[in-house]
Amino acid sequence: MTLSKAIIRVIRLKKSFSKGERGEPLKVLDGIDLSISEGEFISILGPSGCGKSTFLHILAGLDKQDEGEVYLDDRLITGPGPDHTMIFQDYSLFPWMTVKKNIGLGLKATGVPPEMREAICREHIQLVHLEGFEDHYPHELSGGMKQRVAIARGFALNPRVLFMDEPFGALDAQTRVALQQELIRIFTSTRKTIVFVTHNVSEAVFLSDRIVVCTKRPMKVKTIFRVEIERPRDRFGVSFNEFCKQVAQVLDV
Amino acid sequence: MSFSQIFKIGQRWIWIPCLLILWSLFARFVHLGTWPFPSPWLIFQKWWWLFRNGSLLKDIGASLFHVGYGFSISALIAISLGILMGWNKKVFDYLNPFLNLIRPTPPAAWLPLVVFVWGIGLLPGTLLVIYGSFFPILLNTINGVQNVERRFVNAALTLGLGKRQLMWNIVVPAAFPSILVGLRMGFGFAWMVLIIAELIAVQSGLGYMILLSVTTLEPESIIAGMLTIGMVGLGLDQLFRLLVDKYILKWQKGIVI
Repeated sequence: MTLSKAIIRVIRLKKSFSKGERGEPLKVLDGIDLSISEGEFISILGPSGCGKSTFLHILAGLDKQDEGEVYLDDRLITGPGPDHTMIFQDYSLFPWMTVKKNIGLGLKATGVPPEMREAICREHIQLVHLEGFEDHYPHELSGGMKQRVAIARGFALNPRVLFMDEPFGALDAQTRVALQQELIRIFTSTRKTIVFVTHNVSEAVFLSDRIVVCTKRPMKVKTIFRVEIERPRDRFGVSFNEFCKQVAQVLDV
Repeated sequence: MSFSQIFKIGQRWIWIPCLLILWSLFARFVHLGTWPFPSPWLIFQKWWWLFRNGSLLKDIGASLFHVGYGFSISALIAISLGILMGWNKKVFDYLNPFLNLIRPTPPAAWLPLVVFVWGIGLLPGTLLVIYGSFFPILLNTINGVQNVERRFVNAALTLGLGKRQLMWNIVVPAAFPSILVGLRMGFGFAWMVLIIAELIAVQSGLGYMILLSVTTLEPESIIAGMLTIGMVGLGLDQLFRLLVDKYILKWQKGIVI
């Protein structure tokens, strides 16, 4: 673990879901400890249904833990908010708002004045290469473009940390790779702390500074890898594939 | 235009000449008591005459005014209350049993009481129209608000929206398609109830006109009036759909309401 100051500290996080009247409660998170440092890209990698999405929802304040604490800059996270915003797998764009309005909504809600809002929107539309689509509605965009809007919407808020819940899971392989590259480009230029949930090994290795490999449900931290491969990473390189193999082995055990 | 296209259009509209022929034959041989059943041509003549002398337009105008008046008030109250009830569980729990108690009483059953209390005039008619269109709008609004997708609410919360902002920026627009369904249904009911009200409680409008034609022994006017009521109702419904498609729901492709 790094000695530099942690932006997020997760302490002994536990969570169970009640299974109705009969049956044992379903244990999802079984005491997770994690510390994330500022400017870090960290992936939570685990098999489908292991509880990593629940974990991320608790970090984002959208779900409540049974036990344990989550700190953001030494403040307890008790609910969702714009300084620890989230990007969802299903984009969750508001279909009744244009691209620009979607991106600007959070800014408006947090009281950014109109001229500044306009400028920030423009800047972030450029950031994700959606110039010319400002006034389009989400149903007029492809899946990849929708996720670009969602990314712009997240980064526009200038949050302390960005949570991403399998954001590229619903996209085809080509679009997925393209968006991974975009995300890394934006990450390296902004150095925002990103917590990224995925079940895709090569995605985690391509993107992350560190990879937290989790067990099946109930979820625990199994191993944490530090990815020391120089960026931009070559997906076909020997070291990249060696690393993927190593991670995959731990994941599958 | 190809032959098959013409054939298709013919298929769709062939019932009109068929109906007219059958009707004419029927009118020829069937009598209403001592009165000959009016033929389509006779009805059309009557309709044209009513149109020319302006009385039909006056009746249409009166009915549209009544329905517009009652329906607007109803929509305003039902949408506001529906949003409140859908949003606030406590309000819902308090009001729902009461509303469920009133709802099964059809508007027509209220008519005698309304006339007894307020007599005959615009007010009782308006009250009935309000009552008749209230519940479809209210229930669809509640339903729309209660069923706003969780993911939209979650996304809004992570963007920092407060309660009031969430309501106006997310919940109301997300419930809007459902509210429109309620408005369309409500308007259909409003039109129906209005005609019933005009038969008894209001002394103007298309309903009153057809009732009057009974006492003046003009069966052509009755049927001309009925056809007009149907056509105006259809026209308003189509207009509503057109407005919704063109202006209100352009963010939602191919919505069926």
